[in-house]
Formats: sequence, structure tokens, C-alpha cells
Amino acid sequence: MLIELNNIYKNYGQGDNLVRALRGISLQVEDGEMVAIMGKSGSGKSTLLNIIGGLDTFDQGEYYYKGKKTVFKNQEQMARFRRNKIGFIMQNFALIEHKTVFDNVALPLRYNRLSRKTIENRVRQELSNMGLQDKAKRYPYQLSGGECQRVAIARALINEPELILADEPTGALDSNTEEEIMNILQDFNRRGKTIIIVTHDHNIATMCNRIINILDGKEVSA
Amino acid sequence: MRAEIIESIRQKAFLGLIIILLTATGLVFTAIGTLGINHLHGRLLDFSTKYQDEHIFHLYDPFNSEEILRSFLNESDAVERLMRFHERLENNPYFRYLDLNSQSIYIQDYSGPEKFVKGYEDGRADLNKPVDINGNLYRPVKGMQFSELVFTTFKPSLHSGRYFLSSEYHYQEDQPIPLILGSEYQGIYSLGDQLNIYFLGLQSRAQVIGFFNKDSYVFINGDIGYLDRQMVMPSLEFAFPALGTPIPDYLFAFYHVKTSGYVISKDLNADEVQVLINQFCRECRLTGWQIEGSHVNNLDILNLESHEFFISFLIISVVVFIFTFINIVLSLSLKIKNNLHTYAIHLISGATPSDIKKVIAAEIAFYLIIANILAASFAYLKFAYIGFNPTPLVISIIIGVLSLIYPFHQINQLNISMYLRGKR
Repeated sequence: MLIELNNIYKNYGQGDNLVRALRGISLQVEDGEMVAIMGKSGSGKSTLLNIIGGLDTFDQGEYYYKGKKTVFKNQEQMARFRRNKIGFIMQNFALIEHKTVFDNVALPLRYNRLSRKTIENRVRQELSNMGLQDKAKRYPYQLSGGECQRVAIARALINEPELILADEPTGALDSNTEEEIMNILQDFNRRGKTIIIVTHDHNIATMCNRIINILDGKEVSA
Repeated sequence: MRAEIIESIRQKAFLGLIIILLTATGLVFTAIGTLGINHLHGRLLDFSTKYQDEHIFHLYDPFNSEEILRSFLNESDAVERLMRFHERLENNPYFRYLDLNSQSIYIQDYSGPEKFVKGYEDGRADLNKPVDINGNLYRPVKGMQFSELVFTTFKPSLHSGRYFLSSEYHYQEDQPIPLILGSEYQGIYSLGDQLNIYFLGLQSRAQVIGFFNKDSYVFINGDIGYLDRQMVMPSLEFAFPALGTPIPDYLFAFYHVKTSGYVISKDLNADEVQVLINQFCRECRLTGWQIEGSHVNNLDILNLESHEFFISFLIISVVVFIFTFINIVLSLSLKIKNNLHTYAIHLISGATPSDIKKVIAAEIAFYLIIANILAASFAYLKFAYIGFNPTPLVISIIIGVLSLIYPFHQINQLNISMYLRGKR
């Protein structure tokens, strides 16, 4: 078991502004699975993804990663948990506009203090895998939406993480590009990596091994 | 990390430049203010307290023009009368006479730093180039001449070596003239070093016999005179040449200088001292020596003025620092606000909040280091003689640390997922 969440609660705000984002949700994700988390806007699916990815804390419940109980005391611990374990793919690509494609993809390697030559080789390889070898010196604003998302995927994969978390990865793309991106993710999953995708698109969800439906912060049967 | 720091500095470089200039300005004001208060004001206060009950008068000779001088030298036994007048000044029951003067000493083949050369603090060292004297090149360095009473009055302390012996105040042709050097000469000359000097027309050997402690001083020309860059020799006494032997030119020069010293008295006022000076002059068939008050109360006034002057510098520096501090905090906050999306991307790409904070701290350190270098360079060029002052460095470290509090708080509060959502 890669991930096990037991009875997770998460609230935002206080008093009249209190939002109960997650209300005792539990789930398990096996190593090598490709799971879709589906739900309407405001259902808590992104909050759930943030908690799994160590971007956010939870108020109550238990989180086990590879069987080990995970407790975050501060942002530093969360950052150390994310580093090397998790790759993130966001709907809006989350690329740094003033950095080239090469530098965007190289970013995680730089924080691992790798040599310049190793970084150069691994980034070239990853860009080649994504069909972006001739775009290395371009800037994100010079690329199409599909190309941007492939750059974002290349950055998420460059550190060979155990888990990929994708938040609406095709939400900003047309249907052809959407299929192209999902093919890349499926191919990655076939190579044994675990992927969790948050989506409200049923077609995307059906391309995964399993679908978890969320409504009002709780899992519901399909 | 280095790439991130450079990138951060490049963004809004103009704001960075303003921070650097403001900080440098504040640091220069602080340097001047604190040095002024610590060194000058502190010493003046110390001096005023020590000599509170003393009256100090500067004695001036009447040789204001070449004509008067030539006319005096044409008189028979002029030099002898001058020497008697000096003797009268030194040996009288009414007041103490300080044979204290500031005349540069010419050093043969001088190769030391420019800071010791005459006129350096006024930016005129270049005008005092080596001069040819009897086929050798000599350069004038800052020099002072002390009688024994100068040492007992002001008590300048020695770092090493010894004071002049009583016998060394009397010129002996076959003996080197002893020299006590200011603290900054250490490492340039050593005890026992011999130099060829030229002083007031007299060519002689000289020997280093001691070094003063740092910040040793005497009272001269109505002010504190630090000895750190001075070469001090005894105010030499000469025996009058035997009858029938020629009188050397330097003898007049020496006694001309030696009769322009300082009168110190506890009880006599200026009028009373002038009456006595006139009486001594008459006894030696001389006229025209005048005193001018250098009462220690002048130092109190100077003290007060310098205090107010340096306090105003410090007030300006505080105002500049407040502006600098606000400017750093605001511009950094603005920069961080603009960069929150980028920081969030870094944080999902393996960076920790500490990594981001290190970049911000390095950026502030860069600004402050450049500002310190600018301020130190300016202070060195303009006030080279004041030496190192750690206060600006300490202040910039405090500003740097305080400036980090709010930006670090912003990073700690950063909601990554919120900044990664929304449109591209």
C-alpha cells in the first residue's frame, strides 16, 4: 500500500465562515495504481490531493505513506516529504514564465544539488521523451497549451518520483491535446508509477484504473 | 541556488539600487557621526576635564614678512638674543613654557606610505614630492618637536621603546637624533632603525627609539593633535658657537621655531602673561612677541559644537536608516508578493521554505555588502585618517536581520495550492 488515509477531516475558516472541506474521508491507493478522484467544484477533491501531496495539513485523522504514519509539524517537514517522492502536475501548468523550458524542467534537479553535467543529460533525456527536444531554449509563453503541459509533466517526472499528483491536468486543453496528455500519463503508469488525478471530467476518469467519487468532503459510491 | 539569487537581484534592479544608495548614505553619516563622537568629542571631553583649571596661550613671533626677518638677522647678535629669549621663557618662575612645534621632517629616500607625507589629510601630499638636497632626495613627513615638559604635561604613552633622555635634548653632532614614531609607523620602521634626515637646514642621522600607543595626543594649535602618523623628535637645544666661528643658518631657524611655543599657567590671565613676555623681550632686546589665548574653555565650546555637529549627523543617519529600512521592507514585500506564484512553483519542485528564505537573505546581504563597500570607500577617500569603524557594519547587520522578519513571515504563510490554481 502506497497511501492510506483514515477518517481525515479538514476545515477552513472560523465561525460563520467555517468551511468543512473534508468530513472523515478514508481511502487507500496501491503502489502502481492510476486513480481518478472525481467530484463537483467545492467537493473537497483538490483539498484531498493537497493533503496527499503534503501541500496542506489536516485537522484530524491518520495519513500513512508506505505504511509509515505521516505527521507534519511545519512547512519544512512538508517540503522534505514532497522532495523526490511526489511530482505535481497542475491545471495551469505552473511554469515559471521567465525561465526557459530547460530551466523549468531542471528546477527539481537543482534542489538536489546535482552536477551541471548530470542535470544537462537528464533534462535533455526527459525533453526528448516528451518530444520537446527542440523547445529547450523556448519560454513558456512561446509554447502551446499542450506543449506547456508536457513541460510540466517532464518537470514532474525528472526526479523519478514514486507518486504523480495531477490536479485537472487537461482542464485547460482541447480534446486532442487532452488525449495526448492522458496517453503520456497512462504510459508512465504502465511503467509502474502511481498516479492520482483530480478531475471533474468523466471521460478522463474512465481512463484510470479506479474512480473515487467525492461529495461534500466524503467518499460516495459511484 | 546561486542562479536564483542572481535572478532575484536582477528583478526590479532599480529598487535594489535605491536600497544600496540609501543604505550607503546612512552608513556614511553613521560613520562620521559615531567616529566624531567616539574619537574627537570623547578626547576633547577627556582633555577638557584633565586641564580644566589651566590657561593655555600660543606664543607668536613677529616675523610676518621676509623684510622683517632679514632686518632682524642683519642685527648683530640676533641669534644669540633669540636663544637668550628662549632660555628666559623656559626658565621663569611665573609660568610653564612648552617648546612644542609641528614642523615636517625630511627623510632621505622615503619609500613609506603616502599617509605619513606632509599635507596628506588635506589632499596635498602630491605637492610634497621628493626634493634634492645636496644630491640626495628627501621627502617631508609629518613631524613634531617636543621639549621634556611636553611629555610631562600631556603624558603621551609609549607602546614600545623609551622616551628621550634629558641629554638627548641637547644636539650632539656625533650622535643620531632620537625619534619616537606614531603607532601607524609600526611595521614600517623598527626600533633601532637609522634614517638620514634634513630638518630646518640641519642634515643629520636619526634613530628610532620608540613608538607611541594608538590615539596618543597632545594639545597643539588650539586642538587635539593625534600622534598616530607623526614622527616626533626632541626640540633640540644648541650651544652658542664659540667666538670667531661662523653661526650656522639652522641655528636661527631652530630658535625661531622654539620661541613659538605655548605658555601654560593656572593663575595668570592673558594680559598678565603678555606683560611678562614683553618684559622678557626687553631683557633680550627683542620686540613683537604676542600671545593668543588657547584657553581650555575654547575646547569646551569646541566640544559643545562638535557634539551638536555629530549628534546632527547621527540624527540624519537615523532618519536615513528608517527610510532605508521601510524601503527595504516595502520593496521586498512587493517583490515577494509578485513572486509568490514563482515561489510556490519552486516549493512543488523540491525547494523548502528555507531555500526560498536563503535567496531573500542573500539578496539583502548583497545590497548591504555593496552599500558597506561604497560607504567604506567614500569614508576612506574622504576621511582616510579616521581608521576602521565597526558601527556601520553592525547597524547594517541589524537592519538586514530586521528587514527579514516580514518577508520570512510571508513565506511561512504561503498557501502553495492557492497560488498554483487560477489561470496561467
